[in-house]
This record gives sequence, structure tokens and C-alpha cells, in this order.
Amino acid sequence: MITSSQLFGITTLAYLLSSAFYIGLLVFRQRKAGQIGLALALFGILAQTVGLGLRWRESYQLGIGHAPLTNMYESLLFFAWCTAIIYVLLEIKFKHPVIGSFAMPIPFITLAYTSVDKGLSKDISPLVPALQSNWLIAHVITCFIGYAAFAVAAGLGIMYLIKHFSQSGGSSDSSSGILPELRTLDDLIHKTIIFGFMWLSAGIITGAVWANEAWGTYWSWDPKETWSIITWFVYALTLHARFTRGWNGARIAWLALLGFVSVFFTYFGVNYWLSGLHSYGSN
Amino acid sequence: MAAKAKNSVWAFLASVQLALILIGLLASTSIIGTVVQQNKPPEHYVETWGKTGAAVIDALHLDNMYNSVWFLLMLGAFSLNLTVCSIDRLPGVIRQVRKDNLDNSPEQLLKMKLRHHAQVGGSVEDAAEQAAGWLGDKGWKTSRRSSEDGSILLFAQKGAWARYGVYVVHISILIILLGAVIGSPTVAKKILKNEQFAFKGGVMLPQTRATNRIFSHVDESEISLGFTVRCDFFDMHFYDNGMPKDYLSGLTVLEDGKEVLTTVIKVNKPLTYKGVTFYQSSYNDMHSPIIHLTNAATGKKMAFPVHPQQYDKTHSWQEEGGGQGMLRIQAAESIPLPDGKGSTTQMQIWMMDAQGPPSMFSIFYNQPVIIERPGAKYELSIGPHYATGLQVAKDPGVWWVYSGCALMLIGLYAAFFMSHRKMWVLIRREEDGQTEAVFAGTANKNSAGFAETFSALAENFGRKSN
Ligand code: HEM
Repeated sequence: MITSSQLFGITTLAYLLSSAFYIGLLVFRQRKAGQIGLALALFGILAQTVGLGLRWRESYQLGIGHAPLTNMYESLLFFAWCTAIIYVLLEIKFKHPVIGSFAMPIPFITLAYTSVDKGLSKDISPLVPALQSNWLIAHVITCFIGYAAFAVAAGLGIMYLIKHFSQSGGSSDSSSGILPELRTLDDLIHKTIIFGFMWLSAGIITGAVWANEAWGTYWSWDPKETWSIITWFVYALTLHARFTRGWNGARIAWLALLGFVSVFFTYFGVNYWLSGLHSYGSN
Repeated sequence: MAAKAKNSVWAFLASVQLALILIGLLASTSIIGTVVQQNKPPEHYVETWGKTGAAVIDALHLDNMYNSVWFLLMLGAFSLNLTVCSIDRLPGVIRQVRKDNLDNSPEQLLKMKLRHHAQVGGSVEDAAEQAAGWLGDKGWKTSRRSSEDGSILLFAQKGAWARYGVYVVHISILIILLGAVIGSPTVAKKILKNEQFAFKGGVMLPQTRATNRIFSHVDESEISLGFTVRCDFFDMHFYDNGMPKDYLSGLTVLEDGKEVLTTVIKVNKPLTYKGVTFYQSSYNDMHSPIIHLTNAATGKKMAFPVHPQQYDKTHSWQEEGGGQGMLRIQAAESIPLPDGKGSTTQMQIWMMDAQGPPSMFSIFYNQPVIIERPGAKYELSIGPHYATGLQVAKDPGVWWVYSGCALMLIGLYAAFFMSHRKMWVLIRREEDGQTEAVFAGTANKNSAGFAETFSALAENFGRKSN
């Protein structure tokens, strides 16, 4: 009988190979490589979906049944899953498989990280009272769909900047020639940011409702909350700069990267770096 | 001159440039409060940031920065910017939504990017009816106007209200901020001079005790509730691995000494009574025992705190049928545990109720027993006496905040994913006597998507009418 962690191992491998084939498409310009990349990505998503379902079931077998969305490890799994799905949907809708060479490494790196970081507990643990809330599930799902979209937007931003600088550098016949038009990339960055912004807003709202149910304050400016609103501000700024000041191109691509740095900080930095700072303080 | 100055101030307040600056400032300064820990005692800042650092933190109120005057001023400026910007732009948007689109001249239509010319048989009137019917079937309800040269203009639109989406988002932000002000304990205390209007506080309530006041988180001052709440019991459960599973408190609300409501609260399942919400937030061990007695048939729970110096006091309660029940710890002694590690307490209990002779039995600390009496069955235990830690809040602004949040999501959806689509059909007789239908359309967003809809509609009409 296959276990969920074996399936996540298979998923990691599938995302790795998928990334490799997409990068093959970028470098060798073989359409076939892109198709294999997509097939592998789909296979990885399937394996991961079954894996998540199994982990869910395993939690019920332990008598503490809950959706697999309640600790760092599970949230990373979910993030990788969302990123892969959002990328595949983007490819199906807009048909630019080269983007996979920048997008599919994100779920791969995320899953690889979960197997490398030994400090990450993979146990299925029961829910402490504060986490026993449907709002928590809604909160995690909405936030991570948002984060995943922003990750894809950042990947697109990097592509944009590479193409932008290689064009202005005059080397027109580099691999950037196969990248989509700058205008197309710009449009896709905007679309993914809009999509992410909608979900991030919903994520902040569901988080606030949950906090209010559990502690009687919907907003208390703790570092995690504050960083989520900072992220939200960064993207609000990006939308306004583009929509009303006509910013586009490289500037928006940089903002997509800055936004993702902020997402990353909200997700990781608050847990690792800010608590680290705290512990320096007590020395 | 004065008017001009006023206009330029207004224009500045309405500008997106100001919005970009303010949003950027809010985002970047917010970082400070995540690095400098908030609301710590002064020593903490000296230890962490040194004397100079602590002085800077103190001067700029960085230890409580999200409530500092400068941060609140920034939020105020942001709200003002949003308000002025909305007032400035809304009339224009309303005009756009209400616009008479049958006013357009043929030249305007012929300049639109999305256009399709179709030859139709029959008179102008017939063709107009045909086109109106065709569009109507596809969900585009048309209005029409004939002009003097014999041509007819049809117009239909969808999603005009989507133009309001952005403003719904902006106004929702103002509503959320308004809700935050309405629910602010500081505003209630300092401006309304009415602490009971909005507060956040807490109380430690020992089992069996009741209170009609709680303590403010802001300044520890007492706040009167206007009713009484009693802790009937506090209980906790653990998973097999020792992690906490549940903290629960049985609470009863009393008005003028009468019980009006009894319920059990848990973390994530608070009790709200008259706008005041009670949250399970912590507990305390009172370091004295308490007797828990539950009537197995009725489920009625009773609890009697035991005073260590007077443990043999008689406790009594009223039976449902009218009789009286009584219970007493006759004697207590410490006995070593079988494994030799530590000790427990064994107690001799005397108990009686409405029916039958008194019962005498012994019980161990923290080990529930079932007592069968001729007329009733009880569960009895003697264990630690806890106090439940309640967070108590009254936030009359929370529904503003929630409504604002809902509006924001609706507005974002409209602003991002809906577009205002317009479709015209001009039907006229050409010089060669043929009847021509000119389709023209615009959309304020997702023009690629609309172009597809448009060409399907217009081209299929041409095909069909030939
Ligand atoms: C962080 C808070 C804010 C949020 C979440 C927000 C949200 C939005 C959204 C979603 C759009 C539509 C953008 C698009 O369609 O791509 C928009 C447009 C706009 N926003 Fe904001 N906004 C905020 C603050 C402000 C402020 C303070 C101003 C003050 C000037 C402002 C002025 C505008 C203007 C002028 C537009 C363009 C409206 C149009 O012509 O259609 N926004 N905003």
C-alpha cells in the first residue's frame, strides 16, 4: 500500500522532471519538450492530489481527522500544489509553455525544501483548540491560492526582466528569443497579480474573522498580520501604478518581484527571521 | 486666485500620486512594528536596542506604533485621500453609466475598433426588428431611436454597474476603517466618555463564582457589564499524546439574580450576550479542591469549592422534585501512591438526597465515581479548583467591518472580472438601395474576450439574414 509521503516523493520527482523538460524547451526549442513538461506537471499534480487525499485519510485513521492544512509542512505542500495547478491553468488558457521553465521550478523547490529541512515536522498532529475552526481552513486555502498566484507572477516578472535586458543588450538571438512577447508577459503579470490580489484579500478577511471568533479581535497588528497587510499594500500600489499612472513593463515586473519578497517574508521570514531577531535580543 | 488654490489642494487630495505615496509609506513604516516588539516594558527596549535606540523608540512611540499619533494621522490622510478621490470621480462614473448611448453619431460608431458591416434584405424597419430580436435572444436587450435620415440605431449594454466596482472597493475600505473607529475602546473612553460602548478586557472567574464586572486591557480599569455571568465549571481535555484538545467553560448569565441563559463556551465558540462576547482564553489553578456533582438523569451539574481549612463543611443543594441534597467530606488523608512516587488523597464522603438513607463511601482525589442512590444516580469527583480565563469584548463596529469586507470582495470581483460592454447596431439604407446593418461595440476591460463575443454575434447575424 502506497503512503502519502511516497506519493509526495513521486510528485517532487515529477515536478523536477517537468521543470527540466520546460527548461529544455527554453534552451533547445523543441516543442515536444514542452509537451512532456506539461504531461509531467499534470502527472505530478495528480500524484500530489492523491497524496493530499491520503494524508487527509491517514489523519482520520489516527482518530484526529482534519484537512491537511494545519502546519508549516502541510501548508508548503498545499502551496506547491496550488502553484503547479495555477501554472497549468495559465498554460492551458494562454498557451505559452516556455513560462513553465520559470514556473514549475517553484513547486519543485518547495517540495524539495520540505524533504531537506529536517526541522520541519511532518507528523500529522491533532488540532489544538485555537485551530479547530472552519475559518482556519478557509483562511489557509484563500491565502495560499493568493501566494501561489504571486509566485507565478514573480516567475513571469523574472522572465520579463531577462528578456527586457537581453533585448536592450542587443543580443537578440539568445534563448530569450523564444520567450513570449514583452507585451504578452506584461499582460500575464497583471492578470496573475489581479487573481492573487483577490485571493489575498479574501485570505486576510477570513483570517480576521477567525481571529475574532477565537480571541475577540479581528486585527491585532501581530507581525504575521502586519506583513500580510504590507504585502496587500505592495500589490495595491502595483495595481494603481499600472492602472492610473500607466506604469508597465519593467517597473511592474520589479514590483511583482518586490511583492513576492513580501509574500515570502510574510510566510517564512516572520516565523524564522523575526523570531531569530527576538532571540538575539534576549542574549 | 483663492479658488485656484482651493482647486489645487483638492486636486492634490484627490490624486493617485498622493495615494501611491501614502500606501508606500503605510507599507514601509508598518515594517518597523514587526521588528521592534510592541507593548513591552521599557527595560526590554534598552536591552534589545541599547540606550539610544530605546530613546528613539520612546520618542517616536515605536513601542506602540500602530496606535501612535503619526501612524493614525497617516491612516487619516489615506482615508481623506480615498474620500476626496471618490467624491471627485463618482459623478463622472455615474454620468458614464447613465449616458444616453443612442446619442452617438454614425461617425462615432464608424470609428470604433470593433465593427462589422452586414447586408440585410428588406426595409430598414424590418432589419431593425430582426436585429433587435436576434440580440434579444442572445440576452442583449436593445433600445432604439430613429433619426430623420430614416436610419435606426439600436443599443444594448451589459455590466454597466461594473464601473462602480472600483468605488465599491474604495468605499468598503472606508467602511472597514469606520468600523474600527466605532469599535475602538480608546475612542469609547476618551471621546465618547462611555467605556461601556466598546471595550476589550478580561476576567479570571473561579468555578462557581459570578461577576458583573471585568477589567479593561487598556488600563486595568473596572468595566461594569450590566448583568452577571457565572462560571459553572471549567474543564479541559487532552489528546493521547498530551496535546490540549479542548478548553471549556460552563457559563450562566444572570439578570437581577435570575438565570437567563446557560451555555458552554470553547475556544472558537464564544458566547455573545447583549453585544458582549465572552471568549475562552486561559485558565488558572486556584490550588484548592472542588467537588463536582452531576445528576446523571437530569445532567444538572453542581460544584462546591472546598476550603482547605474547613474541608468538612456540609454542602447542600435543591433537588428538582423539591427535596434537599447534602454532602460532606468527613475525613481526608494522604496516602502514598502504589508506585511509591508521590501521594494522593483519600476522602470519606457522607451524602444524602430526597430519597433513602445517607450513603457513606470513600473517594480518591481526581478519580470520578458513580453513586447509585434509591432515587437518583450521580457522578461525583473531587479535583483541582480552576478559574476560567475569559476574554471579554464589546465591539459594536465589528458588523461594519464585516460588511465592509464583504463589499470589498464583491467590489474587487466587479472591478477585476466584470466589464462594461456596449453594442450598437446602426441600420440604414445605402446609396445603392441596399439595407446595411453596422454593428459596433466597446468594452472597458477584457477587450479580447469581448471581441470574440462581438464577432460571433455580428457575423452570425449577417450570415443568418442573408
Ligand atoms: C489600499 C487601498 C486601495 C485598494 C485595495 C484599492 C483598490 C483599487 C482597485 C482594485 C482598483 C481597480 C484597478 C484595476 O482595475 O486594475 C482601483 C482603481 C483606482 N483607485 Fe484604488 N484602491 C486603494 C486605494 C486608493 C486610494 C487611496 C486612492 C486615492 C486616490 C485610489 C484611487 C484609485 C483610482 C483613481 C482608480 C482608478 C479608477 C478608474 O478610473 O477606474 N485608490 N483601486
